[in-house]
Amino acid sequence: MAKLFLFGIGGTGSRVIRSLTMLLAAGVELPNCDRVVPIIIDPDAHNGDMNRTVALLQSYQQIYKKLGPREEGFFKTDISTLSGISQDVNGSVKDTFIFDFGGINQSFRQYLSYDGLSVDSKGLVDLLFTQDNLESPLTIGFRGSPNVGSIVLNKLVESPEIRFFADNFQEGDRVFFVSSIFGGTGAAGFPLMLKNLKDTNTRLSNARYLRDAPTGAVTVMPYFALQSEDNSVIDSNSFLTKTKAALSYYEHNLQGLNALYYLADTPDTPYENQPGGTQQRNKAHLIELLAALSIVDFMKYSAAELRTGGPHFHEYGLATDAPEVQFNHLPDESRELMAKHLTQLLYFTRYHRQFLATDKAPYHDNLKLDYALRNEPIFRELQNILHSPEFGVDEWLKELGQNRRAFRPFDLATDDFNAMIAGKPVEKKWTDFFNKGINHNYFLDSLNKTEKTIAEPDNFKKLIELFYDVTDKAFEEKVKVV
Amino acid sequence: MQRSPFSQLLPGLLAVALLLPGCYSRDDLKSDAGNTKAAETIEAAAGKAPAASPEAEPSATTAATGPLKQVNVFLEVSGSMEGFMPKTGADAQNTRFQQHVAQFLSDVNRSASVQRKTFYRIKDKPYRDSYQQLETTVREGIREPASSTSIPAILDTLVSHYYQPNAVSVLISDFIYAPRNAGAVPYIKTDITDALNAAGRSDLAVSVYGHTSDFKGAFYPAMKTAAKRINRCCDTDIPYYVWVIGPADAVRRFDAALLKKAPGEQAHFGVKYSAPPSSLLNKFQNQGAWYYGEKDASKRAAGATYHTVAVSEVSAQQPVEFVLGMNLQALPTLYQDLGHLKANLQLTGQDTDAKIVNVFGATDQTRASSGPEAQYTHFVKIRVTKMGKAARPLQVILQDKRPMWITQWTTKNDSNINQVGAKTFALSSLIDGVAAVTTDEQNQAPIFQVPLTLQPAD
Amino acid sequence: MQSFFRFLYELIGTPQPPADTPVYRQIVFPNIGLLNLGISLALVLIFYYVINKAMGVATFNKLRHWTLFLVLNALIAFIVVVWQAKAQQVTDHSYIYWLATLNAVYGLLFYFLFSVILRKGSTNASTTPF
Repeated sequence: MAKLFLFGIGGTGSRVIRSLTMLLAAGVELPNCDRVVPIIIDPDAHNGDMNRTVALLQSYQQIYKKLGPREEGFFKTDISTLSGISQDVNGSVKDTFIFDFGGINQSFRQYLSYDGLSVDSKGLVDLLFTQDNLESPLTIGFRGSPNVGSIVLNKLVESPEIRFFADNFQEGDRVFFVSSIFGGTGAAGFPLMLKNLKDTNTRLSNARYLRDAPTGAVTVMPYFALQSEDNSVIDSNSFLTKTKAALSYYEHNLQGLNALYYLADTPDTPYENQPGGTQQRNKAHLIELLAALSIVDFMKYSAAELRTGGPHFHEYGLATDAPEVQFNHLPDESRELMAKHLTQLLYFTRYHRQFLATDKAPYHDNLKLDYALRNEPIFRELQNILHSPEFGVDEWLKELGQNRRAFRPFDLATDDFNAMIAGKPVEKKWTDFFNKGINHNYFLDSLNKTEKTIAEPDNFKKLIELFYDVTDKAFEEKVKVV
Repeated sequence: MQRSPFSQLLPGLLAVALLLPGCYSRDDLKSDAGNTKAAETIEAAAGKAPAASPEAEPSATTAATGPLKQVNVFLEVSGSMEGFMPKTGADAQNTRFQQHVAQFLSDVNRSASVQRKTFYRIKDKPYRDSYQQLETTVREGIREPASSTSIPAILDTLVSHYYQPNAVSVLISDFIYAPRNAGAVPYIKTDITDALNAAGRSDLAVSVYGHTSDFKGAFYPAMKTAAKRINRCCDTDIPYYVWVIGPADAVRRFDAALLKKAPGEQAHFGVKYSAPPSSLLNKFQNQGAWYYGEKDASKRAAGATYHTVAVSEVSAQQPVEFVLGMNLQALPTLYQDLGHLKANLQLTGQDTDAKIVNVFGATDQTRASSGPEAQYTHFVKIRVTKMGKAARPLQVILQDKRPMWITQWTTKNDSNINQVGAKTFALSSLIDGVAAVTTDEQNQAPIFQVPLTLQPAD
Repeated sequence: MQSFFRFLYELIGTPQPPADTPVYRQIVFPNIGLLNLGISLALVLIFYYVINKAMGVATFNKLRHWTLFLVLNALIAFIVVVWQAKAQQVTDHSYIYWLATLNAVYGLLFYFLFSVILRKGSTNASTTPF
């Protein structure tokens, strides 16, 4: 039962975990690992990105619990909360994907007990932190201030969550950090977390396992800009400066890291400047998807490979620099990794939305979908994860295509399955009268045919397996390559 | 597209395609085993009655091919015949006898149906004549009337010396047989019987054709109570007869070949006829719920005939009527005569009230019909209102009843022939004598019978 | 077999006119019966195995499509009787049309029975009509 403990730090962490969840939902294989345990570390409890990532993770988890482990398929990899991996004896760890900061709804000044400090200490604090830093409430995160974050996050190690994590850490488990280098929480949190886990003098249990565990990280460097607002606490113009400062720190202070992935893009369209809270809900971005891919890439290496040759550094380059990235703009490796699975997921979600409820077909009858779709909670959960306007697959795919560096591998506007993969329409052989490529009829026929070959008694499991097989076949038979 | 499922289906579809046209038609129909059995039993039951039907006559059928070997024509030229063949006078009038017999002799002489024709005059015994001589005698009259020879003696001679297979003797005479005395009259029949039986011919048959002719000369009555001869007779026509004597088969064929259209009356003794072609007609004046009971009735093969009536429902309110068509063309005209048929056709059956309600001949309409009725010359309509619970034989029989004319043409006393009219002395007795030889009186065979089966519908 | 078809078709009474009874019993009944069975089977095979399996058509499996074939089958069954009556030269009689109607009803029945038996083997219509 090898696990991957995935620390998503800050808003970027949430968004990358969202993309990874989508990849796993699409059936992307995560090798050397049975279970992913995402831990989102973000003091901003109302962060919109985080909330919808959590909702997505919960939905995924529900579905996985129903499906269980399989050889392949949609939702193949288990995603579990920290408390879910083991029975917590004293109940101090909540069953959630979010690290519990215990409601630090105070200002940084209060957090430091500034007023109770000695004059010398006050002087030091004044030297390190601006007045703004001291007055800002911690509930919305560290707002691009690593100096604040590093203080607060250093205390994480003493939390029950981390202790629980260490108690349940086993040989073979891996750790991966996702953070942005230019923000507040991530930039400060990642090196701190790493240092504490790898500390030779740590008081945590399983210290040796922790020290030896293959550890990776993806650091997202600036890829967006924020609209400049005179009074805003976050100024994207400082991103580069902050990045440079952080990188120079990373250069010497990332002990125990086996692989580090760097991702960056030239900022183009500025995001609306929302320093935090529920308003910070950014559209899913290609960079996050690529960051999620780096996790998959990291898992592909064996522990031995990771340990030899010191830290491995990875960067990413598109095959073609295009403002609207399609599958053929990706390098072969990434394309092979996700093109087919994402296409399958797209076919599934489109078919689910357009036809599933109204189909009159043997597979539909045999799965008793008329009843199940209306009444069984798990089928509603599937509906959520696919079509929720908050966190659903449809929304995610749509958002990916709405950035200036858009990831638009699919034409989401069309109803023609043959034309859904951008730049790669399904070839219809007109010589064969019956070959209409991929259409409703094709899927129906394939669903009916395949349904007979699946001997799964549970109709939900069967439905998922059925659609995975059918979309797999559609891809192999009709799309072949992208 | 995947082809494999379709190719798997192909054989099945082909089988269906083959099945469709392969079903029942008239030609290849095979009935269920059960049906066959049932029908056979019925056939067997029905078959008992017609077992002795004339069809089972191998000699008749084999000899029926080809012409007769010989015909011997005997013309009596005794004095009593002179009135039929008077010497040609200035008035050049001749009798109907002359016209008829001359024509007949000519017909015989010309006929291809007989290989050898010989002609005889009968005086005290037969004298060989050529056709020309005999023809001349008929036309120009008897030049030297011979003394009369008795009928039994002539018959004896013909049967004893001229009887041979595939040959007939034709005797033309007035057949006035005068017994030696009045006391001998009751033995006329016996005399004739003995004469014909002298040679012990088992298959002897006699066809009698009765004609009348004007008569110009002396009439010699058999009963000589009034006068030995009546000169310058007669004011009435006098009958004369053509007898065809020989083996039954030869007589039948000679009748058919040369006497088919014979005018006058006729009677046949000992002649056996094959059953006439016949069939029930299910769409000709039929009424009520019945159909052909034959197991292969549905084939409706061309020329097929049917003799089984299967009745599904019958009662006094819903009578069943069916028509039997018969082709009587091969029979002598006597047996084609509607009057004779109406009088003599009988229907025999068991457990039924079936009866003949009508006998009628072919009309232009029936002959022009496209139905099977076109093949038949005569029709017998039978009505049933009651029947047994199982198959029963039903037979249409034409009994061998002596025609009425024989009695009518018979007189017990011809001494006053002008008053008596065209009659012959003791004709009935002569015929009785013939009948005694040619028919088994205990078990008189019918002329023909058509066996039918009347059965409830299954 | 003849007796079976005879039983089947004489439920509405004996053939009319009675003179054609042997033709009906020995030719027409078995013919229309076998044809009806064969055509029903063929249509069921076409619907379930040709269209909804071999040809891969998946949208022609609704109740209305099935009903279309059902009605088509009944129509053919009706026509078959009229045609057979003509072919076998039976006497024209209103009975022919009663028989045709009965055959159409049997066509519906046969089609339904074959459907129930054979539908499971179909890909896209294995749950049609229900």
